[in-house]
Parts: sequence; structure tokens; C-alpha cells
Amino acid sequence: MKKTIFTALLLASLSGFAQQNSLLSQDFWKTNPGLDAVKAEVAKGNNPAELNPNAFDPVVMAINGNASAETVTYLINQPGNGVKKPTHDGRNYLHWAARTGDVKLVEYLIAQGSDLNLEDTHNYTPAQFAAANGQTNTAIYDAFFKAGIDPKKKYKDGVNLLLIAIPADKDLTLANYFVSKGMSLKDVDASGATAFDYAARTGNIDQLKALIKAGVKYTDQAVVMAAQGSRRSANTIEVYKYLVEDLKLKATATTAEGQTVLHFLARKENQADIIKYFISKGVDAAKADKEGNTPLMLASAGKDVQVLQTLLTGTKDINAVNAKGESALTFAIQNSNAEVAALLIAKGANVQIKDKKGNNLAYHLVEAYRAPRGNQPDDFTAKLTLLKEKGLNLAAPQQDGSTLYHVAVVKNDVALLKKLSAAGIDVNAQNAEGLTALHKAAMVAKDDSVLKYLVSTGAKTNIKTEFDETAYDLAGENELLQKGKVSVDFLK
Amino acid sequence: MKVFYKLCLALLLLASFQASAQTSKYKCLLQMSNYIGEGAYITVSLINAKGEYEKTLYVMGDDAQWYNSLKEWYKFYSKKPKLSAKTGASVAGGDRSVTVFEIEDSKIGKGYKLRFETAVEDQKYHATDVEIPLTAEGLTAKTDGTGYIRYVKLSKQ
Repeated sequence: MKKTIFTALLLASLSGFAQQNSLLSQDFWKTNPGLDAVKAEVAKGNNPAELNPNAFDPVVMAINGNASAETVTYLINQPGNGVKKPTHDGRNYLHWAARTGDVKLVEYLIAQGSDLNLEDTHNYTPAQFAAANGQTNTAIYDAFFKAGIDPKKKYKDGVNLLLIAIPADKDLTLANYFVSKGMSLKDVDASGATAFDYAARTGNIDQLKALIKAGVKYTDQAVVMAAQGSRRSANTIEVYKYLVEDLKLKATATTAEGQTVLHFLARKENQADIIKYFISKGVDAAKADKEGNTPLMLASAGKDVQVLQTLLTGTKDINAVNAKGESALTFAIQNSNAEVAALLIAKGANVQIKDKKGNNLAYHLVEAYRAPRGNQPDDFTAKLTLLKEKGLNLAAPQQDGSTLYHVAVVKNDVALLKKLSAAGIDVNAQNAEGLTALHKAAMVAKDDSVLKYLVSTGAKTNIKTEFDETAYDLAGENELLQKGKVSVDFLK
Repeated sequence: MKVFYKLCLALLLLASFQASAQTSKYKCLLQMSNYIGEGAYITVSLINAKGEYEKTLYVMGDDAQWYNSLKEWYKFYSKKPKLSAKTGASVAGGDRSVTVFEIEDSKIGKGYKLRFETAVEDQKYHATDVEIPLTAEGLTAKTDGTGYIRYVKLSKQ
């Protein structure tokens, strides 16, 4: 009992530290703070240019929290910010302002020289990002067109703004506006996908019928696009039946990458019935895409046992691998739980499988490790125990000589090393580059905890790398340890 | 028949010419600084005296989806998106990569450079994190990086 209270207190104080910068807290922006309140927070020492781990900064938090243009402008002009600063997913401030639809701010950012053509990591420019998020305020697009963006511009894969916006454009208001700017409802992308096909992503049957009425054609791509859905949603079986049975579109359609509907459905939740429907319509459950991934592999990264069972009945080779040499079991070990992994093993999945680089399943397990948060179950230990029980040698080095300790030290988590302590791994093993786990830890450590733990379990401090360096030398060059003024004398 | 002879001769000449292009091997230790963030994508390119990309020697980063984050190199790569270069995993903060390059001896001292270009998700891109002149001195020195790379050290094998 005492221990629980102590842990709770510790967690509370830790999360207190993590939330130090009030300007990065969503809750702060929910209170609709005025400019003076924001200035007061800055005066208290909250850094207006700090990036959180996902590269959101106070300016982005303010824009997404619908702060006034006055407040956002003030923040943009603080040292360390400015219109050229990259943020989450490679976006500039104009991306975010265009998405929220703040016309004044968009005009300000354009006037300040924001890059109108900057593509984020999803290849979206600010105007595309607004359209993709269903921004219906046409004044935003007016601002972009006035600044020189050609309304008829074709972006990556030949899409235009109309096609990007249409899945969220239920009553076609935006589409009609774009048509008035020179685009057409009959525009298609480079692969020939139509506005109808794009609209199938959100599967609003009334909208789809309205598009047909307006003369828009539909193609087999609509089926795959419906299965892709949107980021947060999945389509109902009625939508698929409308496409496949009423419109006679091909259930077996594939993307340019060779993916069928099943590749997308296998990654979404609660799709067992729809998957069965498509298998009954002739879609091959074992078909690999161009990277060699099968629907079974993708489903094995999830936790839906019913979907797995369905896909397994159509699978001849449970040990098929993708281009990286990963099987369905590799996917399960990386991302799912012991129950799914055990199911695959029971159906004949090979526990000794190695990928193209010669790494075994234990490598993938450690490589994919994330510290469990809150009440999350300890999937890691359950999967590790399972692999051991099924005969995998956890002490064996990988092809490049790395042991599980080499892989684990990168995670900077003593708890992970402790979970591996019973595996019988040689803590002083050197990999092909002559590095021990202690060397590796000295290079990547953020504090001394992992280093001290390794030394306590018998890691030798006098082994040298092929470049004649000791762990002490390597730790001495580690900028994070220097910055934290961490003494590494115990490595001498 | 005559044509056939000529062709054979041409092929023979070509083969002997290629064999005579002397190359040397260099071991390259690339040491990252302890920056905070995801593993860096890095390309090592051979840059000619005019400052143009001539050849990609090494690509660190497995997922072609992120190649476009290496903006300058990507312009060169995307013209002919086929890689003959070595590839490896992306390199995390503090970690290192050790590899061996083969460089033609005829390129030494002719104004060529080795360019190390780096990109980290959601962070600044460095078009020339490290640039090493292809000279006898450059190829044995330790060169400090200006971005995510702490230093690069080359040694002739």
C-alpha cells in the first residue's frame, strides 16, 4: 500500500515536470487566454519557442487552440520562432493557420514571407492541408490564389484541391467554389481516380449519388479508396455493397502498390464482417503487395483475433515474408501481444525466423520496445517468455554480432535491461564493429543509470573499440552527459 | 563480319579501361552528436569540382518515403530514382556508423568533395553537415560536423 502511494506521488511529480511549459499545454489554450495572460506566462519563464517531443511549439498550440491573431502574431515574433520555423510533420505556421481557417492570420503569414509551397511530410502544401482537413472558409483559398497559387495546380500524384477536399465536402459547397475558380468536378488524378473515387473515402452515399448525377464517373479505385477510409473513420458494409453490388465495381481492385481492400481493412478495428464479405467476393487473403506485405501480416500487428482467424483460413504459407524478411509473426512480436503471437505459432509460424539482415524475433521484440504507460499490460515480458518457451535462444547474438543488450541500451531504460537479465546474455560481447553494450550505452546514454546498471552486472570498462576508445572515452564525448554534468569517473 | 570485329574490339577496350580505373578503399567512421530526436537520414555523395552531385556513395535510412527530406540530394536522386549505393539504417543521436567507401584515385586532388547531408524528422535539415575535400589530407583528417554529425573520420585501408 505504502509503495503504491509512493509510486503515485512519484508519477505525479514526474508529470509535473513534464508539463513545465504552460504554453505547450492544451489546457492552457482552452482557457482562451488573452495577449496579456500569454505575456505573463512568458515573463514567468515559459519559453515561447520550445518544441515538445512531437515538434509542436507554443505558436502551433496557440493556432490550434484558436487564440486571437494578435496573440499568435506576438508569439511568432519571439526569438527562436519566425515564419520559417519547421514544426510537427514538417509544417510551417501557415499550414496550421490555413487548417483552422483564420483568414487574418493566413494573410499576415503570407505577407511575412511564409513559404506557400512548403510540402509537409505527407506532401501537403498549406493550401492542400486546409483542403484535406475540410476547411470550408473559402476566404482562405482566396488568400492563397491572390498570393499567386494557381487554382488549377496539380500536386503530387496529379491531385488538385477539389479532389483533396471532396471526402469532407458533403454538400459540395467547396467543390462548387473550386469550380468557379477553374477546377472541374470531372478532374482526375494521375492514376485516373475521379472525384467520386475520392469521395468514397468517407462513404456518404447521398454525396456519391449527387456526384453521379453531376456527371462524375466512378472507377474500381473507389472500392480501395473506400477501404482506405479517412484517418479516423472506417466505412460501413452498406457503402461497400453499394459500390460492389449496385455499381458493379471490382471487389478485387488494387492500388498501384498492389494493395487490395484487405490490406487497408486489416489495419482498422472491427472489420471482421467486412473482411469476410470481400473474401466471399473473391479477394485473395494471401495476396502480397509490392513490398511483400500480406493482409495477414498487417492484421498480425493488431489485436483482433477474429480477423486473424478469418485471414488465416485463406493463408497457405503462414511463414511468407516481405521484402525485409519479416513474417506475420515478426509483425506480431513487434506490435501486438503474446496472445496473437501464440496463435500464429500454434498455426505453424516459425519462431527461429531471421530477417534479411539476420536479426531474429528477439531482436525485433527489443527493438520495438516502448515502456508500458500507466496500467498497460507488460506485453514485452509476455512475448519474451513465449519466445523462450518456444525454443528461441535469447543469448545468441544477431548476424552483426549485437546481443539483445546492444539493442536494448538505445532505449535508455534500466527496466528493460532488467527484464533481459535472466536471458544469459554475455554482457561483454563485442559486435562486428568491436563495440560492447557498455560502449554503445556510453554513446547514446541520456544519464548514467544504464551505464551504472551494466557495470553492476559485470560489464568490463577496459575493453576498447576498433578505434582504440574505452567506454570512458565515449561517455566523455557524449554531449547530453556533458550538459547534465553527469560524472562518468566510475567508467575509468 | 567486320562490324562484328570492331564491336569485339570496342568491348575489349572498354573492359580493359574499366579494369584500369584504380580505386582505393577508405574506412569511414561517422559519429553522431547526442541530439534529441528520431534517427537521422544521411546521404554521402561525391560532388564534382562544379559543385554538382556525381554519385551517391552511401544512404543511411531504410524508408524511401523519407528520402525527400534530404532536399538537395533528393533533386539529384529523383531524376533517376534507382540506388546503386550502399544502404544502411538511419543513425540515432550519439550512435555511429562504420563503413568502407571505394573512391577512384583519379578523383583525388581534382576539386571533388564528399558531402554528408543530414535530416531528422521535424527538425532542421543540413545540406552540408560535413564536407570533406578529396585531397590526400582531407581523406585522413577528422572533420567536425555542423549539424547532427559530431565528426567524420576517414582512413585509407
